[in-house]
Amino acid sequence: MISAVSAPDPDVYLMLRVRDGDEDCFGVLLDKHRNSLVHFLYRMVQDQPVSEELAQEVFLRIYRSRASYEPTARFTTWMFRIATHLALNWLRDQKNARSEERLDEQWEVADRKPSVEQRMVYQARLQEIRDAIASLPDKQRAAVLMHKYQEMEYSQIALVLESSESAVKSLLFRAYETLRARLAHMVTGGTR
Amino acid sequence: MNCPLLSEQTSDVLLDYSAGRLDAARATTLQKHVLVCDACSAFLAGQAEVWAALDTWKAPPVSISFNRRLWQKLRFRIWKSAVPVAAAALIIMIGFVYDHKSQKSQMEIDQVERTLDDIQLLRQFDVARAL
Repeated sequence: MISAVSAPDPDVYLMLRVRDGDEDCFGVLLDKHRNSLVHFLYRMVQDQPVSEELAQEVFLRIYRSRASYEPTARFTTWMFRIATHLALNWLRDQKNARSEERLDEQWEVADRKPSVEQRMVYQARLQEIRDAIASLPDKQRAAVLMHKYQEMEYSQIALVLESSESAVKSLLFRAYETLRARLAHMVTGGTR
Repeated sequence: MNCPLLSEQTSDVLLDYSAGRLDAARATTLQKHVLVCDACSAFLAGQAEVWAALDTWKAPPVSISFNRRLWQKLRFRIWKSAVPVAAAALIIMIGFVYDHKSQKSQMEIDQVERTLDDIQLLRQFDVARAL
């Protein structure tokens, strides 16, 4: 697994400092990775409060195991492995429970207030995307989110999912095949 | 229609190209191939639409209180893990103090008894001298 560390990882250095008792370095890691971690978990579980709770648990576990930390892989590989594990467990436990929609928050990033019609079209399209992602098997979903939004390489996704690179290629091929079938019409057919 | 690039183990090249993560040399080679391969061209067109759709899905901002809540939990867990140690230390301390106190009170009783014995002995001396 050490071979996965191709270049010196500054996060590993910070984590080693945390292991030696430097709490400030933990704060640096927290600030650096908080958003990407919460966003990944949000897209996995599709529930904002749950994604934040799970992200907190990830950081708590990292902090709790600081004394025994060994840099065998990139820090983010370790972090996303914990996150994926927690998310997959949560999804397994919540298989039949659908999360409440919280689409209002999505508009905070918009330049101007949309009309009611635009808002309805956007919500419908967004729901399609969420449904398409949610319809993927859990591991495919995790692989797509890490590939698309975290821009991870196949080798790192493989380490996070504890599978082979070849298995990740298969997961992504099948996942994108499903997404192309479900979402391809959106750009040509939709308006925003 | 079937292109060897469109398999589970080879389509990563197309996916990387679609994501703009292919190096320049490989991207140029692939572009030339796509010009003459309808299957890859269709794959890339479909994939571009998927990327565009996924790009519209923005995650909501993280709560402002995220860090504060996390540090509270960390402090609480540290405090919680320290409680059994502190409790054990307290029990040991109470035991020591109690034991020390009981030893001290036993010594005081012995001393009083010895003093009473001494007084009685002195009185006996006084009586003997008077006789």
